[in-house]
Amino acid sequence: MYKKIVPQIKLETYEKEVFEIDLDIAKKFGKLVPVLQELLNDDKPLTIKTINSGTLKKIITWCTYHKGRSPPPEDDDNRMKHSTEEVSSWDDKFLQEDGQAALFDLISAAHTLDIDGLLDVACKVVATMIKGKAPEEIRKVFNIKNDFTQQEEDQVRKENDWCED
Amino acid sequence: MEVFISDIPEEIHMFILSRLDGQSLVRAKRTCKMWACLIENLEKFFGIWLMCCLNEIPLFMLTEIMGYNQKKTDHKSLIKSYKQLPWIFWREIYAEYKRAFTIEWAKMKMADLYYDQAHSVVTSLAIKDGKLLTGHEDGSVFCWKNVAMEGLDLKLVHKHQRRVTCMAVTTTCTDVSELLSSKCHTLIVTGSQDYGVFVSDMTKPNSTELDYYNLQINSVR
Repeated sequence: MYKKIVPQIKLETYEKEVFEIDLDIAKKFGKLVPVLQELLNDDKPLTIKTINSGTLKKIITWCTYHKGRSPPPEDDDNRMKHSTEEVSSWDDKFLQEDGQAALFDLISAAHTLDIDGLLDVACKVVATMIKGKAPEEIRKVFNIKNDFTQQEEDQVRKENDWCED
Repeated sequence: MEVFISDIPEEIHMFILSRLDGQSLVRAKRTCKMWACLIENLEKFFGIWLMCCLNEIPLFMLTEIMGYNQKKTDHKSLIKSYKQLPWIFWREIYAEYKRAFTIEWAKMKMADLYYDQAHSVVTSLAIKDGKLLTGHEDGSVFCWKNVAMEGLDLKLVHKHQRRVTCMAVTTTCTDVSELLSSKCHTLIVTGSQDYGVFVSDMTKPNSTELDYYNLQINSVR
């Protein structure tokens, strides 16, 4: 009898845990797709040391949720409009529920796996964290050390005198 | 394996920063050296200010601020012609747009402000290239040194007989090449209760073109 076989690829994480991912989900992985397709017939999983299991789980959830939607075509005009699109409330909640460190993990992983859509929304979420804050507040939120001397800071401030705090 | 913002690759910082609006971008530039450097790259090589202008300023306002009356073209070729202009131009356009907000606010505050040194009640206000222009009850039009009105370096632009009722400032250019060589004229036009209309050119005080405009207005009178 005919049985539909869903092609799957195997990924091994930092904790040496192996994940099986349907190929149509893995199609989101941009540049990695040809590499993964080659591995399709292989039993050995692809090891990605920079990604941990929790993050990969989240990525799979995200890819499954967004499976139906294809990314908009990448032409010049589209890239210009990039930043005006709103982040959907589902994405916003999904990305922020585990805190900042997890979000950065996710961004790094999305970058490694070349998932454009996820990278885009995650960066937007971080950008909204920065928006409307004074430099001192931004440093506080992201734990950034101020390495400017007073002089240098005044210099940058002077350049953009129209921006009040 | 916790990741902090300082640990993630620079490329991702660029992704994040490129999604900011103009004002946040300037603030982010002041947080640390790494971001300052990355934002400088975005400004110089990725046209971030043009993007900010296009995303945040409605197109009709953009053309008004630029003083660039392009011939009827489609969106794509418009953007293409915009891209020819240097990045610093777009930063100034953005700054100009933000200053326009400041002037709206100043208008409200200065509605009944009275200065001894200045001549009488301010009846109209305009701002251009960081200079504040005021029209007064007694018909004089002044150009102030800076927006903050700190230096009382007043310059009488021209004088009407009676109260200045309205003022407009505009930069006129007809094509990109003129903009690039900064050949544009900044014109101040004021109307008064004495039925007079005056035109002054801020960039070239005694240009023949100005005489032409005045002639035109006189003929209307």
